Amino acid sequence: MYGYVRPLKGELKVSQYESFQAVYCGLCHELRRRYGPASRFLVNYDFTFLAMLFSSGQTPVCEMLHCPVSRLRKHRCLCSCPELGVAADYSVILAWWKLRDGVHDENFFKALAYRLSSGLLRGAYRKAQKKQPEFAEIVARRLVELNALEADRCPSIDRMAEKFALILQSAAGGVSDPARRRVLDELLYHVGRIVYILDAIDDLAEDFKKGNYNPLVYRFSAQNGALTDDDRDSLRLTLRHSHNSVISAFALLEKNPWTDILENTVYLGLPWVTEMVFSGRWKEQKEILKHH
Amino acid sequence: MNDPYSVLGVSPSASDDEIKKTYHDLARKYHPDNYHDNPLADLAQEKMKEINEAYDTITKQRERG
Repeated sequence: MYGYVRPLKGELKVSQYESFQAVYCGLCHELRRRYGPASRFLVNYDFTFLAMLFSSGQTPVCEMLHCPVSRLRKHRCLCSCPELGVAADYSVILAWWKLRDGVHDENFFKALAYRLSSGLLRGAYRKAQKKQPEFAEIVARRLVELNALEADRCPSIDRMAEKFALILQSAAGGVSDPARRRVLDELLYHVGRIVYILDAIDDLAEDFKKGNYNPLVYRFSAQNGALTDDDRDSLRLTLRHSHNSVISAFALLEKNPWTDILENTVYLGLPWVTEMVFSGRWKEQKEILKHH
Repeated sequence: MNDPYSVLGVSPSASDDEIKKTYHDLARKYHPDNYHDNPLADLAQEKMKEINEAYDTITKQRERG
């Protein structure tokens, strides 16, 4: 999806990093098993986080499998399990809608590429939609609402971020225990809010240049796509509020085999990514991390 | 009630000091001040109650020897 929700690698123990890799690779294999080889490109850190968050608490079982990127050696992968399945279904649904969104937002040639890609993913989307009808329906409804607000050039970051936050919140729809559901609802809502706002900050300069909608342009009258110190303080405040809500909710979750990695993601990863986005170094850091 | 040691997340062989430190850490974590105006305040309160009961049980058990 966006890749903002990830652990801070430098603070993970080697064994924790290997476990995180096993879930990431497990999600990649789950996508292939369910939706074919092309869907592997949809694997991402945000849904790896979701798969770990939804863990039932049972001891994870891993297997050694070949990776299509480095075929020479086998990699440790988390075996197929319900939480990987849900994360794979959600990845396909959100990716398809994101591509459909691109068809409307981009210029003719880019829109054509989005149209072709979404066409290729249509079969997988239909399959995922059958497995997760409620989530697919909510994503579709909320994105229509988001597009309507965009068309009105909505200047409220809260209103825009809320629509996206509600999409992520609905990912907890399948959780049956009411208390756990409430905690996950709250946690995912604020993670969604953070992701939306970070993405708006990250894309601001480019959106400004291209004349694309970005709520920050209308909220802060950003000059040449740059935010003033006051604008940044205001954004930091709202992000800190959501981050505190994520921490309070996370503290109420029962421990599971991935708690250490999730803790790293919540307490260290999210603030680090936030700083990188504010400093304008996020895209560069993302590239560096890809090669390590 | 659940096993008080697992509620606090400590081993039954943990020293009194270790248990006290863990209890204080957890009490700080779930303190009502951290959940002021938070929709999950009731769940944090329940958790706090559970932790207090677990600590009381362990302390009384150890006092009795």
